[in-house]
Amino acid sequence: MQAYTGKILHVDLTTGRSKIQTFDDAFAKMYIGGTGFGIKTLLDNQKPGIDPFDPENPLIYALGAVCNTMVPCGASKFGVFAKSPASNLLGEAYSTGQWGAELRSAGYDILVIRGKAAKPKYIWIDDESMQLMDASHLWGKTAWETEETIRKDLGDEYVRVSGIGQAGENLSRIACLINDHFRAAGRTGLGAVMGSKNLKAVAVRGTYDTCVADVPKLQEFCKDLYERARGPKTSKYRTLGTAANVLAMNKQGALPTRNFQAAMFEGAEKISGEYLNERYVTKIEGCSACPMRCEHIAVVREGPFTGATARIEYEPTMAFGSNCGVDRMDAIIKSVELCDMYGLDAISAGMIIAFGMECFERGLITTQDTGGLDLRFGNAEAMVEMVRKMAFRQDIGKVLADGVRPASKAIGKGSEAFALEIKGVELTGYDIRGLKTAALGYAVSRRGADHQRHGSYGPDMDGRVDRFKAEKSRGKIVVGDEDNYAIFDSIILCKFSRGIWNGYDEIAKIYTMVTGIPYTGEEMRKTGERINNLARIYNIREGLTRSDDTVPPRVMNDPIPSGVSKGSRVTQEDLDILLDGYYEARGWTPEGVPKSEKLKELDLEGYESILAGKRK
Amino acid sequence: MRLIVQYLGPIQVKLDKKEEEINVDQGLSLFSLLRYLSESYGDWFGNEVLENNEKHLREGVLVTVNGIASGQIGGLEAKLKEGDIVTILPFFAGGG
Amino acid sequence: MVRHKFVTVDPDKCVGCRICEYVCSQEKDKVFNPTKSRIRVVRIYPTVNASMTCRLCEDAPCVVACPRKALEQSKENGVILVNKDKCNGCGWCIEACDFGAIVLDPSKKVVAMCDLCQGNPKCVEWCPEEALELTSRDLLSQKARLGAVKKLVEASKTQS
Repeated sequence: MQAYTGKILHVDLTTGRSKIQTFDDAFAKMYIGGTGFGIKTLLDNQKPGIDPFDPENPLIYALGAVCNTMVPCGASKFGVFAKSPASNLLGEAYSTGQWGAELRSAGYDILVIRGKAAKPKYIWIDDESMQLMDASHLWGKTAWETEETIRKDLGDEYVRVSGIGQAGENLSRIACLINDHFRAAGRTGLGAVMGSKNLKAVAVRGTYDTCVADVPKLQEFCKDLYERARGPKTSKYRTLGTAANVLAMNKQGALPTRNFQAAMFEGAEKISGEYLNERYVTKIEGCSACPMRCEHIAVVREGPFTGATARIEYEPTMAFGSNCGVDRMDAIIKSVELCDMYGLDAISAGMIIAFGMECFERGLITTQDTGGLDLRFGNAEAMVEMVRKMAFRQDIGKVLADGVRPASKAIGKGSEAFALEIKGVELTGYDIRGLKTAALGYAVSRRGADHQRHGSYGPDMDGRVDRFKAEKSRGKIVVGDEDNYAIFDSIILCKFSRGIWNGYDEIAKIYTMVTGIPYTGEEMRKTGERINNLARIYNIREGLTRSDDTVPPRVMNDPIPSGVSKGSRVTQEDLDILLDGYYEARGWTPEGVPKSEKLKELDLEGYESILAGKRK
Repeated sequence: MRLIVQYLGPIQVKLDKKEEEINVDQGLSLFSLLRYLSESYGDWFGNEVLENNEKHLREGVLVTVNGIASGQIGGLEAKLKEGDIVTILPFFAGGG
Repeated sequence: MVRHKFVTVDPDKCVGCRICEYVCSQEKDKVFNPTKSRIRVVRIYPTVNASMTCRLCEDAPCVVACPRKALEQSKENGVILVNKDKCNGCGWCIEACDFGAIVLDPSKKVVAMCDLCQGNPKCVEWCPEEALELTSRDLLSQKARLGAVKKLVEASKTQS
């Protein structure tokens, strides 16, 4: 097989030793890379039921199959996997930039980190060799300072670093991993897993070749793909960027506002993509081998947050903007910058602060708890300060730093009623009360509340289906979307580029051109299905049941108060209809456990023993 | 009949206009409205909204009538009525 | 020499996507390996991106520095030619180059630099932002002159 290095590096931080394991075509063909490799490796290497901060929780990096090649929008993508401290179920997060390509150049496709170092260390991988380097002078530094210092220490400006800031050191369950300055493997708290191992970063440098199977065919196909990537199917990402969604979502009554109290925000214009690009965006940058380039870098040039610089997308704009009732773009940029520096998931951080604001306005917490901050909706300065307090676990930040689920338990007084989370992971930028297909996607998403494992708000928003109605048939739609995205997350291809690919057949074609491994479109679809079932097996093993596939109390009980989606909510009846349809479409029991025929069909019979006892 | 047409995203930026009231024939279809706007503003408008100028919205463009997505009211064949608010929005998934 | 064409970058357009690195190593060495590419991207956070390659200097310092006279500058197109038998990978040329445009291939142990791909540079062909240009010092100075005068004319229009 070509392109793959075929090598897995296992590092044991307790003993300081490492070993190399190899994998073959058969493994590559079954799981492809990225999410397939990550979930499989986690399932097979983690003792069932352990605590996410147990040293034996493996922190796994897995590259996409087409890493370090010129395949558009795929050269540097990687996934990170572990048992999540937020959900106590599958933790997975994806990032891009330059780090992924570098790991492959260094000779590895998968990195498995176990154990716990006695003192802070960072892993340094230099063309296959691995060393554990002293990181005591890095502990307490931001993610940016860490990257800079490591490059200086090693005397090499091309070293790529994926690491944590202070939030990960403080084991915040929403801590993330930052690489290449602006990129994050953001969700499910994997930064805390790294921190729990006394590990500060993974630094990589590589000079090995990546060869592909069919150079002329690949070049020809890439020529065409690059054209498509510069065409109308990607124009939105290249012009206004995803922040253009703010006004569109607002118009559709689907923009989370003030902790999901409403779905329309009166300040939407001031946090819109149009406003952002007009006043703040200085440059649009790109990741490795990306002909699209979509990273809108925004800089604040006046006011109290002058100098704040961050890459701005729709999600953090919603999380720190409409959802916190804040209509100040400069405060949003500052908050995202702090999240990048301290290593916090920007989506979760914004969502949690919104929760804190509602607690404050209801008098459940006071200025005593907030260290004097007037934590009301709309108070931009308080919001920015609260990001710091969460990173350093100060005042109520101590409790908020772990997510809305533990925070609402700690604060109590009925605050669970407005904790917007599923499986312990905060919701993202779609008010699913008025998007019933998306609601299903969120309810069943394998890593907790998430739009990125399915993208099923698409059929709701574009009117293919009646978004205000729950129907059994949505199950099939979500299954199709999930399987498609599982392939995107394995090859790994940027989802912003999905418009340029004409179905599984083309993806199979490019996979074979790169790796030499024969693959049909139908086989791709089946692999996507296999990966989603594998994730389900893992989650069930770690304790998941049907009751975890749900929506937050507010989504169920509080209808959207006004606008085009007025009156919408997802009732228990809705949820049952949606789940029944989904489980049936998946070939799972009514409790959501894959049936043995399904396992056989997907060559996963080896895991039958895990599920046998769970089927009623 | 009077209609209100609202613009978001790149079209709003290019037209430098968020909203306008226009007067068109009674019972005009959504598709005909888009073609009429394309004739007024230029080919680029049609290319932005329609797939190859066919009766099919370009991917990533939503058109709503009184807040409801076109797909739910009969697609581009849907007939408009007096006072309808037609909104053309860019919509694309993902984002952070 | 002023007319000799080389590949130069417009830093306002470059987004640091590194496609030039991938196509260069693919074209010259048949592999994907940015460390073998004769054009390299430099990114300085937050927003500076520029790729650098051989600028075909007049009186190229690399040629002067080589202790074994393994480098020669072509009179025809100004490209630096490497005599693989004489080059021993000592790296003096790399130190002499002001632009970091010379790479030392670890497997071949001889240096390499941009040779313009027989007059049709692949990096220029593939750059999605059209940030790379095959141009000469003569043409660059023309462009700058024209641009400056145009700006003055525009400015005087708004004043009156």
